[in-house]
Amino acid sequence: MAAAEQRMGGAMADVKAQRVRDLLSSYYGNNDDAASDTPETPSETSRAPSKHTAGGLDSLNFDADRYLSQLLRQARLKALMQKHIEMSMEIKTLDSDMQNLVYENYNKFISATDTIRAMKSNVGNMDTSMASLKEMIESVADRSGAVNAKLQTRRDHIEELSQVRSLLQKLQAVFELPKQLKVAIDAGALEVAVNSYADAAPLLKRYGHKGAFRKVAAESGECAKRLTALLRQRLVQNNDEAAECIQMVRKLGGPIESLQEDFLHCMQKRMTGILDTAAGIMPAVLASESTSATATAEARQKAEASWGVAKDQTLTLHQYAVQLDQRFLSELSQTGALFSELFGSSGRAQLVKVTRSAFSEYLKLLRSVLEGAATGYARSSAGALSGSRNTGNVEAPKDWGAGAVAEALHTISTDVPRIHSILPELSASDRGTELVEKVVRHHISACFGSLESSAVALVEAAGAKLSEGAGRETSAQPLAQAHTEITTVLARGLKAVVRALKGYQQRQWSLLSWQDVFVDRLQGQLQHMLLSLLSRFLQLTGTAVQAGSELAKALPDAGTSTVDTQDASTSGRGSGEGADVVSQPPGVLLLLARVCTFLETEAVVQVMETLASTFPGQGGGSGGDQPPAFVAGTVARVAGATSSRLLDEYVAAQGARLSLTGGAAGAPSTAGGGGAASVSTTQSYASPSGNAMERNVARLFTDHVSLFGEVQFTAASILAAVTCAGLKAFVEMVRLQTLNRAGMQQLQLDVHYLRPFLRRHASGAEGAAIHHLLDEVVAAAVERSTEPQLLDAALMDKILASAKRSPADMIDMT
Amino acid sequence: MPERGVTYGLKYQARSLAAVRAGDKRSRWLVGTVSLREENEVQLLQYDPDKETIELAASYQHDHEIWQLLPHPAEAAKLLTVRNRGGQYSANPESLVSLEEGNIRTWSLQASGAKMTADSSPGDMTQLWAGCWNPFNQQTFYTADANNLQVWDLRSLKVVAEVQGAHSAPVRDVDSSKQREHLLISAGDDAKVRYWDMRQGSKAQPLAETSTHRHWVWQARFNPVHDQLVLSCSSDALVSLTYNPGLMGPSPSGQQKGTSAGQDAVSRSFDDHEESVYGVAWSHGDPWVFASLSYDGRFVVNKVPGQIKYKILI
Repeated sequence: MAAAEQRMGGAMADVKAQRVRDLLSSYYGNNDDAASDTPETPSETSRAPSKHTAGGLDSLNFDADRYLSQLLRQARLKALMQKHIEMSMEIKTLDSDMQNLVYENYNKFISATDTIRAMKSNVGNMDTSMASLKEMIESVADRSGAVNAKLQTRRDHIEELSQVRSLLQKLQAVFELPKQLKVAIDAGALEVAVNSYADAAPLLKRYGHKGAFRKVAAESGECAKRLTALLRQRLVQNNDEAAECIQMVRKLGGPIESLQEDFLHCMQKRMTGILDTAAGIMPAVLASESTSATATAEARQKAEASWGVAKDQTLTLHQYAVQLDQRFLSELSQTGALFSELFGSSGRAQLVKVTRSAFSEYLKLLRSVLEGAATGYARSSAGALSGSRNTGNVEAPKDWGAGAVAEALHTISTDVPRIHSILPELSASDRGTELVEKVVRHHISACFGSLESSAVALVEAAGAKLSEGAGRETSAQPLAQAHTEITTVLARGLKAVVRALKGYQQRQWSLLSWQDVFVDRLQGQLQHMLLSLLSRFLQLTGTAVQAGSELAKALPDAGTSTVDTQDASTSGRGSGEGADVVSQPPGVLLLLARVCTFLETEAVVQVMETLASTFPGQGGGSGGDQPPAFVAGTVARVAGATSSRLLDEYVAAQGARLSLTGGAAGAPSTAGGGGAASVSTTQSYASPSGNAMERNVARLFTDHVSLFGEVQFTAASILAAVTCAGLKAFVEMVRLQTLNRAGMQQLQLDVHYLRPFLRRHASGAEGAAIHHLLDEVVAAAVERSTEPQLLDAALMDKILASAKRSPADMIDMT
Repeated sequence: MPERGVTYGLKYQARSLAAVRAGDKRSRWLVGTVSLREENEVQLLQYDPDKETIELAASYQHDHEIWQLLPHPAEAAKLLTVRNRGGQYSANPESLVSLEEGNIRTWSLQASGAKMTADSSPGDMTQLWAGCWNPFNQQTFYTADANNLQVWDLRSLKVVAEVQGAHSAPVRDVDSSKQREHLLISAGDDAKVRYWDMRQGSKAQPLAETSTHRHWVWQARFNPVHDQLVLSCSSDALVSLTYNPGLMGPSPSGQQKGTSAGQDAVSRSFDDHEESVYGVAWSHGDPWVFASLSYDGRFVVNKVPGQIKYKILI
């Protein structure tokens, strides 16, 4: 029941809403109702009639008559009654609803109409006020424009005035500029002066030719000039501020190009200063025998003062190179960098020129230091070897200085390429390599050179010893001793040097690209040294080599061989040694000849062995088809030739000595006085011309006697050669005289006396020459005699026998 | 094998040889014998380059031994002979210088005879051996005494410069270049020939030195046309021809150059003689021909080897 009631209530509400909607739609004239219901069939459910009734009533197809008749037919009275009540009630409610609607909406219609009416009138008003507003705004704009225009002129004026004011302020500064500049200059504040001038410069440039400015411009120009001058002065004086000075001058508008030169000059001065300092310190590193102790001490002090080397620290070659590189190369690269920064690429040629010259100086200095050191090392080592010379204050390094030099070279060869990026024009790497090469080469030649000079010094010492003992009867003792010394020094020295220089090879990095030819170079120098030693021997004794001979070609130019290693000490050779030549006693010649033989037979072999063991399988391979640098055969051959040449010279020297005495002895004979004059028995030549013919015929049948043949290395051969030279001189002396009978006979007697003495030296082929020459003396005497009457041989023996008994007579006779 | 020279034999020993300067372009020489006890003679020898023979053109008797011959520079028919020490004709045929021990004299030659014009006795010069004129200056005369060389001013007859110790033994001969003034060679008993620039005066150092001989060098002579060529002869019986192309001669710095230049020198020795050679002389007619004379009277004419000749010509 409850559900039915609810359903009923709901149906009631639906009906109501539907009704209101229908009303509204009808009110607004919306007649087409969506509810096009088919007439409700009475077969529907109980509640359907109410619904149908309502719906039917509202639908368009509702037929009131049919509905009424249907209802009258189907419904009972009670129901009809009920229906009637219901309908009247519905009508009543509808009427009230209608009434409500009308009432409710009426006010709204009224007010809406009112509003619309008000709106209509308001809009009409607005149009006019808008027009007036527009008008007003236009007039305002006009006014404002007028005001603006009026103000503009004022404003311009003000602006102009303010500009003038600032200009005046500036001008004020300009007028004060000269004073300021002066003050600044006097105070030394050049930077301030430069800045203020630079600020004012454009103004002065523009107005400088007008009115009052003229004075100011002139004065400040003056100041600027002074400033430039001062700056330039400072540039020159105070090298450290070069770059700043140049910047300032540029600000002053000075010509930069002219400064370029000053700048370069100043940088050059700085670099030169560094190099000079380094050169001053050089002796401290070298400390070789050529520098005195005081010079070393001074240099030492310099090193402490300017390089800050600690007092107790020794300055090694390597440190020296490091220090110098640090200073110089950084300066050089700084110069290059500054220059590019300041001047760009203009005038680079000038820069390159200056830096190149400085760089060359630097290389030169390094080279002289390194070479000096190398020479010093080599000398002291050689001195230590020979033990005869006290060499300076350097300890003789075991490796002949190879280690020290190699280290320094390494420093240089790594440092030098650094400047390549800044100054590629200097081709620093190449020159560095060149330096290394030169120094190593020098070191090699210095080592050999020192060895050579040690040997030569020993020779000279031996010579001096011989000269000292010249008055007394000289024994062969000093010669033999000297020979042993020299050969020992040479043998040990050659080995030691080759071993020591191997040190370079162990430090291959220091040789750079040059290491390939190093061994060749070493061997070449070795050969050169031996040859130059030989040529030195010849030179020492004043022995001239026949020009164009094989020996002359094989020997190096004696002057050039060792000049670079001997520097100051023997620079005066060549001409200076001409004096020494005479003083060398002939014994030295013999000694040197022996030494040459030693070189030929033993030293060369030894050197070959040393080379082979030190550089196995190296040398001569660099060029492939090049011959090896050390040719033992050549050295041996030249040594042999030199040795025989020296021997010849020894013979000549001894012969010359004999000639002099021979001349002296011959002289009294010409006077004709003497014991032989009393000889009674004479043997006359039948005919002197016949005698000459006889001799000529005899000569035809004897072999041509060679007076000046090859001298062998035997005592007999040497003695015979010396005798020949002496006797030949005797012959020549006699031929220049004119003799009387007594003089001729005296000569004959002299020869007769000499003959048995000389026979001892006269054996074999040499002996024939001596006899021939003795005959020749007598023949010459006969030829040059006015009375060619010879003494009997028996008589001569008698005279000589008596002379032996009483030596006083003998003296009287001769 | 080098070409042998053409030889000619004299009867006696001979020391003096001189080229005849005057006359045509034939190669002619005078030789004089030196024999104490025999009659000496002067022979005029002529070389025929086509037949390569030596002919005796003339022969003159001479009473005394001949130590030196001085043909007249202009007249072929005249010559002076010297019996003892040396003398020198100047290019000017009227004047002459004679040397003797400790004495030097100048002479003026007239048709009537010789007249001594000046005389000086440098007492200590006891070994005045040789002398020669400066061909460019008639007032300058070079002499050699003992080991030293002197330069004389003939106007005052005084020594103006002296090179001490020019050789280590007595100097036998000097000769001056006909092409380059002041260039002098000296030869000495030390078996060396040395080149000098006499402008260096007393401080002169040898420009170059050749030592091709083994005994005393008696004479050294410049070629009259090419002074790079020098002949020298020695008592080792050799004649030596030296070609010294690099010799810079008279230049103040010439010493270094000269020494190094001396290295290029080429020498040739001629061994045609068996005795001491005392004289050499270039032909006056042909600059490539020269003669030499040894003590045994052998006179040899030789030619400059083609190798050296072409070096000079080409």
